[in-house]
Amino acid sequence: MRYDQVINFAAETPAGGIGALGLNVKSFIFQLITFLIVLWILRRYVFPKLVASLEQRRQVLEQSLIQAKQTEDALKAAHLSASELLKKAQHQADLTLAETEKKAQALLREAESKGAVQAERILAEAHKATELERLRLKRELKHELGDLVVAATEKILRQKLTSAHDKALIRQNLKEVTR
Amino acid sequence: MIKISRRQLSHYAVEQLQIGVAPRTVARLIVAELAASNRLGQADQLVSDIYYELERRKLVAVTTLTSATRLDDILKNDVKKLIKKITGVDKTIVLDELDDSLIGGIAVSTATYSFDMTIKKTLEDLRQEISADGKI
Repeated sequence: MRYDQVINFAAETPAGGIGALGLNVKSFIFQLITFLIVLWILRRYVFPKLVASLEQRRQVLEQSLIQAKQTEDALKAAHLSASELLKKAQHQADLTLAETEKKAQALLREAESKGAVQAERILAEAHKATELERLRLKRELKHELGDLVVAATEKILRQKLTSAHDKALIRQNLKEVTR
Repeated sequence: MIKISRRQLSHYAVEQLQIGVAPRTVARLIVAELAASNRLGQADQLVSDIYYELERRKLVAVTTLTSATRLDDILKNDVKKLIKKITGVDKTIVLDELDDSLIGGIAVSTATYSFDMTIKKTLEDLRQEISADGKI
């Protein structure tokens, strides 16, 4: 049926039937045809593109979701790995710290031991030096004492010893030699 | 020229004196020999050698007597007797010297014998004793 025949039929349709409902059949048919044309145009040119675009969009979203999931998994794995590494590092650090502390204590003990030995040596040397100095001073004191005693005795003898005393002394000496 | 040793010269001099040659003559001969051998610097040592030889042969003891004060003849005779007794010589010649540093006492020396009984020596011994380790 051609379009103009449909329009004519509608225009010729009596006011009974559909027309009794208050509808304009002609207008109704016209609008129906228009609707069908628009529907066809939409199905022919718009819907495929729209569906394709939506499909593409859906795929992109799906891909994004997959990637997000993968990223989340990777993140979880990374967290796990980092945690493991952190634990290992902590353990290693503890070991190193303990080892270092042990070495430091050993060094400290060694240094203390060396220090004690050195201190003893220095003390012994100081004692020795002091003893030598004491002996030297004692010797000097004896020399000075000897000098003083002799000088004092000589002075007194020179003052007190007369010629008569000297002769008596010589006689006594000669007697001692004779014996 | 044969060089005569000092010892030989001292022996010769003493032998000449023993046989009665005058000391002056012996002295001349000895000095001539020393001069000829260019040894006049050894004259004092030669005199000491002669003193030694005289004493060794118990002829004469030349005694040096050192004191701080001048000694009288009695003391000198005592010393002579002592030296004769010790060395066994017939005669003693005393050369007395004064030395104020001795303070007192007497020091006697011959060619073979000597003793020092001066106050200076006694004080020096005392000084050594005081200075010696372990004494004080």
